[in-house]
Amino acid sequence: MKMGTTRITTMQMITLLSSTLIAVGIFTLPRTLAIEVGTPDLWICILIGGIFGYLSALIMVSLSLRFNRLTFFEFNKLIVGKWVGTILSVCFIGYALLIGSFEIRSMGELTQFYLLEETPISVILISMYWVAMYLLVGGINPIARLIELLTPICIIIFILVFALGFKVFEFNNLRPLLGLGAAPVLKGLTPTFLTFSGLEFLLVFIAMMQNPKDAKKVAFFGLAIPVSIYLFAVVVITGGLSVERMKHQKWPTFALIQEYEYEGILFERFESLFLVVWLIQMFTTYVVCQYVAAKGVSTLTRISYKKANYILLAAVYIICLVPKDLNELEKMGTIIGWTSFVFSFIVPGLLLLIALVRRLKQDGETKDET
Amino acid sequence: MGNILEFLIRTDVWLGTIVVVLVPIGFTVLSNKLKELRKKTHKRKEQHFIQDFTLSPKISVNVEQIKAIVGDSSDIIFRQFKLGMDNRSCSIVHIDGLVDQHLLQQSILHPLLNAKQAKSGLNFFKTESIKDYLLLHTIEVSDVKVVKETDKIIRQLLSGSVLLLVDGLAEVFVLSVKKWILRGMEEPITETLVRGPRMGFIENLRDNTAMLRRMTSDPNLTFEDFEVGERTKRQLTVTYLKDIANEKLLEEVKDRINNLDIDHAAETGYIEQLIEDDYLSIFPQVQSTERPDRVMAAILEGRIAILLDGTPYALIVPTTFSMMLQSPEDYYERWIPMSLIRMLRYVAAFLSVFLPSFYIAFVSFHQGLIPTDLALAIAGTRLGVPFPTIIEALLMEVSIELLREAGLRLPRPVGQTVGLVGALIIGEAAVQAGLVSPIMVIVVAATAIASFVSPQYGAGIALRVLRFLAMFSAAFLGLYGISLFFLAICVHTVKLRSFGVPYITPGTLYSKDDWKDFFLRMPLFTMRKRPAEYFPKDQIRRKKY
Amino acid sequence: MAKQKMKRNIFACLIVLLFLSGCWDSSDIEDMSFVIGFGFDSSENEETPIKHTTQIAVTKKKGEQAGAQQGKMYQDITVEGNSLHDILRSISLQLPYPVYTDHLASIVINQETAARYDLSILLDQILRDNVTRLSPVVVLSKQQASDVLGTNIEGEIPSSYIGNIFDNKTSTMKMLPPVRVGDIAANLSSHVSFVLPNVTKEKNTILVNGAGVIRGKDNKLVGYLTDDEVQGINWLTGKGMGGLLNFKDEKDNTIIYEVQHYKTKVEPLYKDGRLTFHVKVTSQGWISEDWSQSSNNLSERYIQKLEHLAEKKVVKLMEGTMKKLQNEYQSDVIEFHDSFRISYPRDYQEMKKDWDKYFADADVTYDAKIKIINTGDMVKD
Repeated sequence: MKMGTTRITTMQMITLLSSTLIAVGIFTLPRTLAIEVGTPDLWICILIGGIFGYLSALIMVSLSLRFNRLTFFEFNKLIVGKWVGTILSVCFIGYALLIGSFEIRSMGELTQFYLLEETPISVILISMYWVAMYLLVGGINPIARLIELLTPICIIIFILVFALGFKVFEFNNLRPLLGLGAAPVLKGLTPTFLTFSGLEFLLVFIAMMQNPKDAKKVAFFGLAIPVSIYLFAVVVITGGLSVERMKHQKWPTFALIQEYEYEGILFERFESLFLVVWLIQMFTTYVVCQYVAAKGVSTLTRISYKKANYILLAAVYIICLVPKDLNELEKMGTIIGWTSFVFSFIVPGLLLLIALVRRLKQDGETKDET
Repeated sequence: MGNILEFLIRTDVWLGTIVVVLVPIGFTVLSNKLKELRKKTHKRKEQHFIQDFTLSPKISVNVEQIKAIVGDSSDIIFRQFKLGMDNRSCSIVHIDGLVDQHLLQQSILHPLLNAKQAKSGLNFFKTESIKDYLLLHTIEVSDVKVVKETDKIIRQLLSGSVLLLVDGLAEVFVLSVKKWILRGMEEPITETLVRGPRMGFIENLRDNTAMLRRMTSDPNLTFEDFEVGERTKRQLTVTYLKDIANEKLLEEVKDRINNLDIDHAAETGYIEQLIEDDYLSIFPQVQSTERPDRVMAAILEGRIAILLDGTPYALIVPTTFSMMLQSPEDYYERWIPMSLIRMLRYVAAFLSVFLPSFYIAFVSFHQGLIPTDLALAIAGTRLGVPFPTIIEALLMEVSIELLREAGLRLPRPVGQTVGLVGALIIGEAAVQAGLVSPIMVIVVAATAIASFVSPQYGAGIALRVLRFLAMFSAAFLGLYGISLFFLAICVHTVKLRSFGVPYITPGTLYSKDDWKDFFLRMPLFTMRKRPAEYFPKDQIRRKKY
Repeated sequence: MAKQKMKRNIFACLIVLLFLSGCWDSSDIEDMSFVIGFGFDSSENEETPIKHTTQIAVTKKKGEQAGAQQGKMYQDITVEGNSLHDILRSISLQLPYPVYTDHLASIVINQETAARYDLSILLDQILRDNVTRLSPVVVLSKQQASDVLGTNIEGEIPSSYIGNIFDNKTSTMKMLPPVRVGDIAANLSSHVSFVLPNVTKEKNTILVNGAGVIRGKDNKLVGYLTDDEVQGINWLTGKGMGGLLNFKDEKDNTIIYEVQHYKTKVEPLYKDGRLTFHVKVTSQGWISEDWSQSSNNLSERYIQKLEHLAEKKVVKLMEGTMKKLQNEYQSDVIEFHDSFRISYPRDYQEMKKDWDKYFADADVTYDAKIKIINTGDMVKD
């Protein structure tokens, strides 16, 4: 017996979206931005990136709302026909798997670097996969609940850890504003936008919402939370370390946390506490990706959702071992970023355009999923 | 192409792929198998514990029949006598010790023996009318039933009623003058409060329902009776407030109770295990309590209580994780201190699960995370300890559990001695002998104290078991292992439901209002609505905010 | 059914195997050597140019705490080699437990060594290592680093002693704020000049005095600053945490001004290729000692006079330091480039590479405003 709704509530959707977007970017973005931009205006990139993200989210929302209760895998066939639709769906599944394995692999690399030097990375990965699998076979409701449960805790710890960073904050490191004009800022837009990959999953999740009418609200808050977190992080890191240092530090986030030390507190070093919290965020991102992929597979084929999960698990495991080292992993991140651009702007934009031209719309039908 | 092939035949790749996929599949298959076990039904002939017979008008036949069924038990008393008015043969059957002897003499035997024929009509005592006469004029007991079904008669007799058999009547009067030895009402020792009613349920169901009834004159308070135990037929009462409890929930509870299959339910623990959602979970999914005030508060929230005859423990469903850390006292005292104390309980629960595992992770994995001075101090105290930290921790934890269990079972004065001796042995001797480090002793003691904080015994046990799992995962993968274990617990609790309610509500912001009574206990006036998590029919508690 | 059981057994075996083979990283805390300090000296041997001292904390055995106070709390191991990581590993040849650098508290570099080798090379391993934190303090020493680390201090480990001295930065202006490995990492890689505090071994203590200037161009030590010049640095950067200002009145009486807080503002002006800096210092504080017994503390004129004297002293300190930095060392260790970067971001991009040269040629004007808000509890008449 189940009491209450079996769909995703608005609150759950907001946390789900934001925790999908908050992921490994918090470690890689500051350095990438510092190298690309080179001036203390990094934070402007994130703001602009967030606005672009919101625009693309709006496109996706209006597209999804035209097809009531249909996921991307179902409605793309209605718009562009069976064949093209299937190809799009397969690409989308592959993309979701790519993000998922990227997150897990980055998580593994970070864990190995900071916590468990000698442990083989496959052990770290496999143990994480098992826990994820236990969650995934339960379907979307436990996933949404777990994310709803953990995201507030993660955000609080995050804010705490970075607020302590104000001890080393120097306002001069953030000045001057736009000293070299807006040109460097534009250079930083690409990595920023790439950090927000995962937004595309809205195309799948809006169909499962309890109140799809709240989708715009979800897109706004679901983006506002990660954007403000990235913003806060980048501002504090820039203020604490200066742009010059961010360029030379492999993980500026950890460097900042190592900068301040409050002695006497049991955890003298917050970076591990922070890493442990962030593990959870990467875990949730991975789970959402794999869910989307499995959902896609079960929509396209006759394989049941549970079986699709097992098959995709093997695929994800193999994909995440493909990059040989950190550099290749970073390359993989860049590929993901560009694919994300395709799936969050070009594909939904074109689909919406075609749908508008052909006046395709479908509503009234309420099909039960989950 | 060659690269891909080369990559795919790498041992860690293909072996890992097999392991990563097969193990979850194996676990799923296993857990499905285990879950099916519970649903398995074995066909068996319908069992009758009482032979049917038909009552004949002849009293001697009936008495013989009853004797044949209940056997020659020494506590069953057959008393034959003649009715005072027409010398008709009568017989009283009852069980010695379950009947109020005084009342039996006064209100049954005495009026029957001394009954005088009424003035009206000579032919009054036709067989049919004697029944009415006895009922209307003679028997001085309020609870009288006239029963024909023989198995019911026997059940009633065995549960303390008095049977009155009258010659010429193919029916039996069942008179209730029950009385047996009972424990007096005491304060429940497992759930003592500083402030609050000193009442606890006792072993008699009727007294328990009476206690609840005395708390409210609300006509919606409903007791619905069921019989459980195929052989022993215990009485079970489902209690709820008619206009508050959700119908779907009520339906589910009744359904599960009707479907439970057991020959004897000795305690509500039996019921709990048979109606809970997931028998493989370590968390208690049904709350048990001895406190009537707790039951009352629960049914006022829209939950449903289950009482069983013969045990002072009542069950409350549905149950969520936060229930395990709440005490009725939270509401009896003022809100600021009680909110703080409640948060303390959450911290204690966390510590009682994770403290030893954090110690293990820090000492044998992440020595860099502790301040230098502390690291050196710990290293100094561990110098000469022959075991790795995990063994040391296990040693201490197991002995603490042993001590606790020993102290629990022994008579109270002896139990205290055991505690004292244990404390001495563990605290002093083990450290002196260099078996464990003093810091380990501190950690274990702090953990033990933290685990005593849990206001529910069942919850405490669950946390104690989790502690050992946490220790293993810490010994395996350090902090990463702990966070994975934490994630696994979270995953388990989000998947778990108790009677349809997710186990972690209101942790999932199901309704913002429910957070007022979660980590904090907000002032009473703010809790205007009943918790939304139980979907009560009547949501509003009071008018004003 | 048998097949089922078989499957189950295989799973069980796999899991057990996994757990048995686990615990790769587990090592007990008492079985490791905690490295507290590093010392760098140069050696005469061509093959092994670095003489490296590792200071390892000796873990006290319980029950002997009292006894251990008298004994040595640390163990110094000096090894020569040509690579730091190589040296660290060869220490393992003479220690029962692996070295663990996560608790490193300070790094002492001999001045000669710092003048001879590029610091970014010397510290490369520490900066790359994942275990070592960015928090150990870096100091220079005139004596051999191994000697400094070998100072015999009652009940203290010299390297953590050095780290702790810097907690006193609030009480004196003669001490630079501690420089941590993380701070110099970026300076080294972007070739920005900076200063490192200097320590000297005394008989039973270690003394922080003066500072060494590391030139950004080649990351080598170019010179030494005295205590007074360190004061000037603190006044110029505004990064000191407070302390004293010792000045004299016209009759040569010593007067001590205690800095409560102060602020330094640097205003760069870049015009027609001419670089000018205007340094503005404002400060508030107390007079905490006054040897001129005859004066009247409460008179406004007297206080104004003292303020004026103090201002003159501050300007003198800054001028002295500046002269040395510009003429002798040609190194901008006082972060004037930061204020210039903020005001002229575009110009800075071009001048960044040769900044030290531009700095050396810059004109500097000073303006100090000191306010005495309290003259203490004593009233003299």
